[in-house]
Parts: sequence; C-alpha cells; structure tokens
Amino acid sequence: MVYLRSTWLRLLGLVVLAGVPLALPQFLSGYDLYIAVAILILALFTTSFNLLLGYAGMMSFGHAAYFALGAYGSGLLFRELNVPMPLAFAAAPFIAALGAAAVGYFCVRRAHAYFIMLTLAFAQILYAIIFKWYSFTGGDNGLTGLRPPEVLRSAEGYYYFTLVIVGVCLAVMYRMVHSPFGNALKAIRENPIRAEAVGISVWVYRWVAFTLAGFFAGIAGALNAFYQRSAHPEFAFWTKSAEPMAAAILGSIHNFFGPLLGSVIFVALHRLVTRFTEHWLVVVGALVIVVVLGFPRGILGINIRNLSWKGLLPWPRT
Amino acid sequence: MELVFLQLVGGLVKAMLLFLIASGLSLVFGVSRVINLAHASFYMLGAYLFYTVMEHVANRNLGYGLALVAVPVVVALLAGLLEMTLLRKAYKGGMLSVVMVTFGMIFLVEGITRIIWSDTQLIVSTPAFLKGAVSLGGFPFSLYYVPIVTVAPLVALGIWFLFYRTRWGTVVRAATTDREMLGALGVNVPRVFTITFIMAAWLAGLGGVLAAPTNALLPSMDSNVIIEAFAVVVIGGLGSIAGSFIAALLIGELLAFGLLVFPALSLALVFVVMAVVLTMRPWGLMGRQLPD
Repeated sequence: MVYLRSTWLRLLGLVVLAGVPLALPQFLSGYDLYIAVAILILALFTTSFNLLLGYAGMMSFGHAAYFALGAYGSGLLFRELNVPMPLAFAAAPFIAALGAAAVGYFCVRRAHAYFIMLTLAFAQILYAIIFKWYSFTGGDNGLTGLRPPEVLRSAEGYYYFTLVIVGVCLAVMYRMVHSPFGNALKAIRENPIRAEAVGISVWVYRWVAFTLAGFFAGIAGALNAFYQRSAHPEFAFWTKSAEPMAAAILGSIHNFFGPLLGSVIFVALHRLVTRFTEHWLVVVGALVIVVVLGFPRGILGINIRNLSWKGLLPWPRT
Repeated sequence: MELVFLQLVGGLVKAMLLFLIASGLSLVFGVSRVINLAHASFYMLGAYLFYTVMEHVANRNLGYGLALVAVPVVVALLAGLLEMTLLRKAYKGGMLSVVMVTFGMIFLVEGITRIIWSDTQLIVSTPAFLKGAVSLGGFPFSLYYVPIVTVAPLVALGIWFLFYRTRWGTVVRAATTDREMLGALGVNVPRVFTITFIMAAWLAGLGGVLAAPTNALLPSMDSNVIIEAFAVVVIGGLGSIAGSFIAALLIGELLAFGLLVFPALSLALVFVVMAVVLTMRPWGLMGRQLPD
C-alpha cells in the first residue's frame, strides 16, 4: 500500500476517494448506476463474510442464509404486515442476526470440519423452508412488490441510499476489526488453543463474530430486496454463498478492503461473461480454483516479481 | 399397515443410498482430512452417466449391468484426475485451500453437467427385468429396490473386509491415525490420499447409478443430496464407516416417516435431530474428537 507522509496529501486522497463515489451519478447512466448498486451490496455482503473468513478464520459456507433472512425479513414485514419500508429495512439485520445467533450456537463450538458442513447444511435447509412454505413466502415465485418509497425509486436515489448505508456499515466493521475485539479474533484465528490459554473464550468470540457477520449480511440482503424489488429462495442457496467467497478470495482475505475490490472484479466479470455464455457457474468454479491455487493472497497479494504460472502446473515443478 | 411398510422400505432404500455417499465422504475425511464438498457431484455424475449408458445401449438389461460395473469406475477415474491435478496442489495451502478447491469443483462439475446434459429434467426408466413388484409377506415390494438393498450392504461388507482384513486396509487405517508416521515408515502418503479419494468417488458414483431409476435427474440433484449426506456424516461421526451406516439408517427412516407426518418440513426434522445429536455428542455417534 502507498504510504503518504504528508497529512495534507492523505487528506486530499481521502477527499478524492470519498468524492468519486458521491459524484458518480453525474457521469454514469441509470444502468451503470444499477450495476454500481449491485457492487456495493456485494461489497457489504463480502466484507461481512470476510469478518469470519479473513479475521476469525472461520469458513462459513452458508452465509447466504443471513442475506436471505435479511431480504425475506424486510420483504415480509413490508408486504404482509404493511410495515413502512424504513422500519422494515431497519428490522431486517436483527432478524438475520437472530438467525445467525441461533445457527451459530450449534455450529461454532464444533470442530472446524463440522462447522463447514453445518453452515452449508443450515443454509440449504433455510432454502428448502423458504421454497416449500409457499403460503408464507411465495415459494418458487418469490416475494414481489417490494417497492421502496418515492425518494428511493430512481437509480440515483437508490444509489445514494446504498452508498450511505454500505459506507456506514463498512466504517463500523472497520472499527470492529481494528479494536481489541478484532485482535482477539485474529488471535483465535492464528492459534485457538493459545487464545483460550490466554483467557479469550474462543467460542463466545466466534459466536459473536458469527452473529455480527449475519447482521451485516442481513443489511445487504434487505438492500438487495428493495433493489431488485423482490426476494427469491435462491438468496439462500449455496450458489449465493459462493459469491462473497469468490469475491473475498479474489480481492484478498487478508486486507479489509480486499472484499470491496473483489466485489468490483466479480460483478464486472459476471457482466462480461454472461454476455457471451450462460454457463457462469463453470466460470465461477474455475475462478475460485485458479485464485485459490494460483493467487492465494488475492489480487492485492500479487507480487509482480514473484509471479509465476508454474504453481498451476499439474505436475511437480522439478 | 401397508403404508407403514412402504415407508419403512422406502426409508431403507434411501438409507442405503445415503450410506454409499456418506461413507465415501467420511472415508476421505478420515484419511486425508479433506471435506469434499463436491462429493455429491460425483453421485450426480454417476446418475447422469448411467442415463447416457441406458440411452445408448439397445438391450436395457445388458445396459444396466454394464452401467453398474462401468459407470462408478469412470466417475472414480475422473475424480482421481481432479484430485491429482487440483486437490494435491491445494494440500500445502492448508484446509482453507483444500475446501475452497472442492467448493469450486462443485460448480465445475455442475456446470459441465449442465452443458453436456442440458438443464431439463431427465428420466431413466427401469430396465425390464426390474420392473414390477414382488410380494413380501403380503406387501408389495418394488423390484427395482432389490439391487439397492442388496448391493449396498454387500459394499458395506466389502469395505469392512478391505479395511480389517487386507494390508491396504491397514495402511488406510494407519493414515487415519497418523499420517506423518506413515510417511516416515515409507508409505507414499499422497498416493494413499488419491486412492482413497478414488474409492470414495467410486462409492458415490455407484450410489448415483443405483439411485437414478428412483428419481428424476436434475443438475441440482447434488444440492438436494449434499445436506442429507452431511447430516449422516455429522450424526455418524466423521471418519467412521460404521457410524455412517447407523446414521444413514436413522436419517433414511426419519425422512421417510417425516414425509408422512410433516411433509413440508421433513428436512427441518433432520436439522432438529442434528442439533440434538450435536448437543449431546459433539463428535457424532461414533466419531472421534477432532482438533479445532
């Protein structure tokens, strides 16, 4: 990362960095803004996922479940109980966090191997429940008619809304990981036994991290629900869980802004690939594998001098 | 009464299929500490390849026999290829890399399945010699359950024999206990990993072949099976084949009877059982305590 000694330069950099997203609607068309919103939502979703993967060392393969809980939670409150959108939106992350707390309680205390399988299993179970509970959730047809209030109906309106929400959430998460809590998580990631020995109650911290990650994923889900004006059972399916995973690894799980970068690349890639083929799945799979094997530190970790494709050879190097 | 019998049998059949898949998953984990998330994809491949064989062989009875023997082998070889080219490179990155690679493999295999066989639902009809039913104590017993109910226990017996009566089995059991020591004693441990992976894929492919006539084939069938397979492995305990067998019976019958009582939420019932078992015995019924 670039290190600027002058405080003035840093301040300028910050203004530019903050100003660009704010000024974007002047330069981009409605469709491009639409994509920008998708990137922001994915960035929030992925950063919440990285709280678990990058900072706590926990591989949750069912993170989409809390995204879906946020989407369906706000959507159902809005449509069935006629709760005004701002309130429904605000309630969504708490519903998601509740789900995460419940699932986390069972998953977090098990060995990592079981954690992986259980998080995936619970997400699939949620998918099955949403899918089959036709009368309540609309099943396969999804939840439609989620129209945000007038102010947010335009592309620019929703863009600014998403920008503010995602910006605030990212700032909060940044403070969380750069705090004693964050340090405890990193300690647990590096050496759980030692962390326990030092007095950190490993399972409690993991549980809290899991719940918080679910909370922010729920916000992303609610944002998505009012963005697409609908919610679908697929929001809980494992292919949805793959998105933050691919984006995080692509960007870099070792850096707070890695997920953001990864989200930009992921969405851009998606738009590019789907223009030529409908088999996006294969590309995602291949992408994950190539990145994990070839660029384990993500794009931000590529050191030009060390770059070599030899690591990807199917036979030993020497 | 007839309904109960039918459900009992249906549950048994489901259990046998689940056992074939779950035992492979458990085996691979026990030996190489790899959670192969793409395991159910091999099951799916087995089912789809079976469909292709049945479509292209004129004599359906011959086709069935051929498929039963050849398809699992093909799936196993494919899995071996994937393991040697992709997974082996991931081992040195630790569990994160390995699991991520298997996760990527799910999409690769599913994507390729969609490309080759398209997204539409495919149905394999049972071969002539398995059509119809037999009377078992006055209750109808569908003939195409016979291969499943006979092959799976035979396979279980075969696995037991392999692991407890052959030298190879001893090597595998040693790998489960202490890989490093095994390597120090001169055994080619990566090769053990690969062969175990191949065996597990063979089991999953066999499960796919046997299951194909009982279900419509969809590219999403791996996602349906994977939760049940995970549930079996989690309840039975990772690394224990016997645990998989018992847990498979439990989950199979639970799903079958759950469909009678709670048709929409039978899957949620599985979740409840998992939660209960995990609270009482965190490492499954017969598993070992795992490090964090």
